Amino acid sequence: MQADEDLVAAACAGSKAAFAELVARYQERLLRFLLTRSATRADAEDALQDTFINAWRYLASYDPRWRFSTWLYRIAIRAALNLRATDTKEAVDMIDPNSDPLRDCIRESSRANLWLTAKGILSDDAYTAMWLRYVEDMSINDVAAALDRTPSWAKVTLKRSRDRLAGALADQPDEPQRGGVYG
Amino acid sequence: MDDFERQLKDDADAIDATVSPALQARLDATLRALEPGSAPTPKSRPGLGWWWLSSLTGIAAALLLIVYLNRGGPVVDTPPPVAAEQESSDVVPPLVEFPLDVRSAEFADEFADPLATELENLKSDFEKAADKLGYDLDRTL
Repeated sequence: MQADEDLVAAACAGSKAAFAELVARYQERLLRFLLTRSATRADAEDALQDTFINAWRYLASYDPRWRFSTWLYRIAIRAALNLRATDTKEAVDMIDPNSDPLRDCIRESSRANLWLTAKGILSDDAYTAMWLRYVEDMSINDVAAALDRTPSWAKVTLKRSRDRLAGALADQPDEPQRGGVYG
Repeated sequence: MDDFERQLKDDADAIDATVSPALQARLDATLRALEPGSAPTPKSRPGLGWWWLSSLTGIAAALLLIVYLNRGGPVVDTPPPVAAEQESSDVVPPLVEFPLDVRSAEFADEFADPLATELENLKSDFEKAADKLGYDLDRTL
């Protein structure tokens, strides 16, 4: 399997096939992540599309010192934020406050999904830091770079978020809270 | 990886992010729309040539400045030939002893008076501050 960086180099040389391979590699991972950052599934899909368009547009500015996934997640985070910022009031009003794309996408399980719990108690950045670290296996430095923060911030935030989530889990009742969500 | 981290990973996997056919069609259309002409070209970074050029220009400017500033400076004469020992004794003036007794007598008061005045002022300030503190303490207690 070709490394991401090789595909990026080929894409920079004009190979759409190489870029299509990158899209295929990351589309599901990014969509999963964007579902946690968006108000609706449609927003997450729009953000995904924007991410790839911007990635193609700015591929030349990619710095190979960083992992490609770090760079791509950074674009995705911005895409999600931009979508949220440009949402009109009417669009916001149309969103069902009880709907949550993440909740709707979680497969049934016998216990509470940690990410759903985390979404309720952590800030956006702390949540994203946890995701990048524990789902994407990014290093502390990569987490910090993706969020445009310092490594110290990332380290402290991860520690606190983890403790907070563990505390929240300890306080949770044993039985599932929401039928459709927690199984 | 501890249990907590494994649980985080498993729960992330439990989020169904299957790309629907409609979304796949959108992404494919997006890829098709990426025109070959819009293919990203690596930014040409300022090469080393420019770096060297700017550095050399700076160094040349600095050298010119140094030369210009030193153009009208004092000309260092070559030292005169060392004269014979007996001649040098005529040229070099004899050492004059500094009048130590004059220094101690004439300048002592001049240097000591301001310091003494300052010391008196400090003493006065200190006494005032002590009085004020005592007064405040009396009022408080």
